[in-house]
Amino acid sequence: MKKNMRTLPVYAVFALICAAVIFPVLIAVLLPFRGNDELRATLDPLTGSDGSYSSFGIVAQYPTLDNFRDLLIFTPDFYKVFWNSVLIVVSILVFQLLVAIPSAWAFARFDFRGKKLLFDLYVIFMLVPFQVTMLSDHIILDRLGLLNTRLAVIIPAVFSTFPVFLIYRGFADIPRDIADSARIDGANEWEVLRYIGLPLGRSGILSCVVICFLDMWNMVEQPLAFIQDKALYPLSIYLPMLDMGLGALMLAAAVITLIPAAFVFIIGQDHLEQGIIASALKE
Amino acid sequence: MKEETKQRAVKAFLIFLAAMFVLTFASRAVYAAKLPKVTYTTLKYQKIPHALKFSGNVDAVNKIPVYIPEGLRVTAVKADCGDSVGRSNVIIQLDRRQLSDAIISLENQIELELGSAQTYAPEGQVPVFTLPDLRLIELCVSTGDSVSKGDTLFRLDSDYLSRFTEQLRRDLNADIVSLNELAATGEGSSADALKGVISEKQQIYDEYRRFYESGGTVTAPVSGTVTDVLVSVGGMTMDTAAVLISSSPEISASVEEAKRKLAELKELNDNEGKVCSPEIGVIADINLTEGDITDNSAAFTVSDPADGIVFRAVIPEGDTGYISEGDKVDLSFRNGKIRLENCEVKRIAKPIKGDGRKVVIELNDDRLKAGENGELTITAFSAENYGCIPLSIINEDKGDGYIYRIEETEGFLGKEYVVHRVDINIADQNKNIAGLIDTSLDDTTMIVQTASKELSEGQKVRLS
Repeated sequence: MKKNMRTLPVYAVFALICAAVIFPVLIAVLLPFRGNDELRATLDPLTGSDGSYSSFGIVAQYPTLDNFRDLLIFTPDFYKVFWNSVLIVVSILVFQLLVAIPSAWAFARFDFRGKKLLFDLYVIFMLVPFQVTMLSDHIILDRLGLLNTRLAVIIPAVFSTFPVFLIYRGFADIPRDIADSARIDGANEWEVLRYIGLPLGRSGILSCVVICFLDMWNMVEQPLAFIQDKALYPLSIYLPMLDMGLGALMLAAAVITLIPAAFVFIIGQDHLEQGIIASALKE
Repeated sequence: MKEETKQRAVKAFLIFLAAMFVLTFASRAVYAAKLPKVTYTTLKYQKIPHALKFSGNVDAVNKIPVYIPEGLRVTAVKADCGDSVGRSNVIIQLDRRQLSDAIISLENQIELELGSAQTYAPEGQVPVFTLPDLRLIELCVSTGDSVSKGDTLFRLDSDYLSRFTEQLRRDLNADIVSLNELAATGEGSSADALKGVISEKQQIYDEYRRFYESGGTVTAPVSGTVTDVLVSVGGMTMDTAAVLISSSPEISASVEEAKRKLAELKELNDNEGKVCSPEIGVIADINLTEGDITDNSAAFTVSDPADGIVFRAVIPEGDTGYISEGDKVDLSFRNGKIRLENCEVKRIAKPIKGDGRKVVIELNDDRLKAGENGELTITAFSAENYGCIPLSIINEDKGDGYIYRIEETEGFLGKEYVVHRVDINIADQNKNIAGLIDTSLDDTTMIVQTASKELSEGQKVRLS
């Protein structure tokens, strides 16, 4: 009883923190189900200069799906940017894995001169924020004639060091004896990677996929810096471009945007946790 | 998390993606159906052609106007415009009774006017003098009479003349007696003065005596017309002319006109009041109808097609700047069934009556007859080049014209087209195109020509 009494304030504090975290998401999910008049009462004070505060009721007075209908039926722009996002993210993930898996396998399985220095450099590059490399990226992409194309976003992301780091941890956990036994049985290095490395390092790869998906799905700076053509914009910069006059549409679009990320999170949740834990413990 | 939940999540995610894929097409289809489909045109820099149309008639080159003396009533018009007529075909019948009355009236008027001295011009008149202080007892002529040389003009009272002559003789004798007495007394200077008086009186006496002996009549010194009589019966003669005679008298224009009119009336009367065509031809126009009173304009005009035909039209003053001699024009007749292109303007002249300009075009087409109506079309171009658009694409708002230009923008769906309203000023226009001035448009600007729906500012459209 005493123990329960002691933990109660702790739960209360965490509950408050949870509520603070969830509240914006809750607003984003609930607001699109309101009619335009009701939304105006909420959104207009945000743009007004009369000092009034936005009001918000949990339950809509007249719940409606009109905003979703307008978005999904009458706004083809949304689909354009949605599929742009899908194309960019999927391309990045596929090519990232093609680049990162061999790299990570090499770091995890081979000893070569300068390996530690090289790996440290990878880690350092992973820590460098985008703003630092933005200008140099821009110059290189310009010289390559890739500015204002989807490749301007895809190619730099493909060679990101973060996936190598994540996958490396999964491969490093694989006992060397298993790989050696495979070699004894006649497997070459690609077969060892294919039949031993990939299955056993699956959690690292999947956690990389999940984390990178969420990262790329929400990326804003790269497309904003390297793409001028609206037809190539991803979903992440479509939403901020909608003005307050289209607030209802923006809220509905935000909910739809959330759905793929939520699915990926649900599907890859276990691997994500394992990957994060593994990365934290082993390093 | 349970594997089953994951699998469900995967399925749901795939369904979500499939739904998004289907909705992509549905949304695009709905969007496309909602967008107005437009066609566009661009400014074309050109001079604006003006097709000016004027009606006119086919006429013979040789036209004979027929005039009828004024003031006669028309009882019948026996031909119409375009009728072919032969020589002596009756065109107009006049009222015969009124014609006879007019002749009598005119004759009286002429007679009256000829009796007036004012009828004659003063030039070339010969004055006839007689001895003064005699009484006139008979006047043999009056103004307007024709006389031959030697014809008696008037007679003087012979008794009075006799007494007057006798008196002159007695005065003369008395003076002679007085002269003899003066000579006897030796008064030489007075006698000389009296001699002069006697000589003068002798001369006068001789004149009167001779006149008396000739019978006291005054005759015409020349042949001609008596243009004025300045004495009257019972009156006394004076030193001034008694009668004026002109060998070639000039009659005033009004009398001449009256005489000419009288001759015409008589001719008409002889022809039983019928006005006939002077030549073989076609009646070009008739200005009289039954019951009208004739005036000084031509009653009708006869065209002679044998000498060729022309097209005549009168162009209003405001449009004369669009045509000049030598220009090529188009003509159409019989509601467009006959079209003549590139006909040359032969002559442009100011018409006798009214404003504008009379345009004459020679015709060489056997199908056309004098008297036919036709239409002249002139294609004239504006003086300046304008950026032109079809007139049909101009919208109107409270009397102001505007159009929609199409702006190409880069949108989320790629190239998008947005229409913007542009107010315009029309400098010149015809039935099909309008020339614009002071416009921000150029020949690369897309301008909405047709739209499947009503447009508004900022609306997205798609090109068809």
